[in-house]
Amino acid sequence: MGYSCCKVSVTTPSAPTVTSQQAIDIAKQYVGISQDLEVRTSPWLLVYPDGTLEWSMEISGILPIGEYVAYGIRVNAATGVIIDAQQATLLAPIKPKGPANAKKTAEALERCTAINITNKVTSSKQYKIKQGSKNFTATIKAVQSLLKSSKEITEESLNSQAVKYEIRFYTGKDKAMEAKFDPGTGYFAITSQITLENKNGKERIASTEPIPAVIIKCPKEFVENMKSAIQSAANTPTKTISRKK
Amino acid sequence: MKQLIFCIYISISLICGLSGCRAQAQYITEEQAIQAVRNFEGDQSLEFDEIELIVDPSPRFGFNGSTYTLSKNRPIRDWGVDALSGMITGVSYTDRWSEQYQSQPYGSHNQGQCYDIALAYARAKYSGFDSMGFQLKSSKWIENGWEFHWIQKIAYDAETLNDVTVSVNPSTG
Repeated sequence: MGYSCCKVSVTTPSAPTVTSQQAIDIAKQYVGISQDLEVRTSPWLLVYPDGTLEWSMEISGILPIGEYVAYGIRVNAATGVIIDAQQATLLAPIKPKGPANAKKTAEALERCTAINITNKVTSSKQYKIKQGSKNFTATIKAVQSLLKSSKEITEESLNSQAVKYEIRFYTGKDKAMEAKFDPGTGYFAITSQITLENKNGKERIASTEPIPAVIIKCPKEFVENMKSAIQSAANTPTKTISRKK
Repeated sequence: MKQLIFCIYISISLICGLSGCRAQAQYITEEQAIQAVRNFEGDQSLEFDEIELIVDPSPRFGFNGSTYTLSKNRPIRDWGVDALSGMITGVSYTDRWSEQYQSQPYGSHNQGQCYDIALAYARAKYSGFDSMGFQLKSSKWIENGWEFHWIQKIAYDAETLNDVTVSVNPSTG
């Protein structure tokens, strides 16, 4: 059983000057969708503590060059300016339309594993990060932002020299998943599922089960939060007190 | 006269010292974090094996990213405490998690029963839950339990960053 929450004071926002339909039109124009526009997640308003309002949505459709694309988009509800647009390659077409989409549907099915694993990771509540011999714990909120805004999943080589951080996500009493995170590229790669055992109060890995490459291209916010957490740990040695209170 | 000067000196030292402390010590103390968790759990005898302060040097969006994490090995449980406000921001009762991962829901408690448990927990633990305009955003099976996510909605049906998530073991409730 788990519990997590957020509580910040919020300034009452001014009325949005951009309607949800206008936000869709802005997003469609920004991406360049010329046909088969599909609003996969209807625009919803999000207000930040300073009162800034934005529309968030997921749309998909076909570009003039014939390519099928899906995007998660945020539009400032006062100015109509695009705040962020993340290509969501994970998303499969909702309504496959004939043989032309067969390949995409097959690809989408392959990615189902990625979705399941991602769900498992995001439902985890504990996170430990390792850089070389340095261990530290990510802030719960930093990882929560991944849960809320992760849109894009793509595939890259796991052997990238740029991957610097190892992250362990605890998914059960003695189960965890290990991942690698590269703040440079924003790639977050889930590499294995491990079973842990506790001997004399020390956590040890009992077994490791590799997972086929599942790599998440993290949204900028997550990358920034993780960088902050990493920088924080590097600059301010994490205070660990191993004593009974 | 000397006594008066000494008193003034002591007073100024105290004032400067206290304001200096206040400027630097923005975070609650470890003891306060411990007390916050004990109050949250209603267990004044609760002990912890590990306490960490993770400092977020660049909080954004009104979030204070700096958090105390308190851990207990037996049973395995973890708490997150906002290092500024002392609010409990996350709890993991790892010992209560089900080890049975299935794509289809199972357990002696159905979705509705788990919802009632989660709602009661949210109401008990998140002050203002009933008055802040929380609405259920999602109710989903997470392979070893039910997870319920509430978000706050305010004017113009806008969602805020305030949210509550509770997951429930379907076998034990």
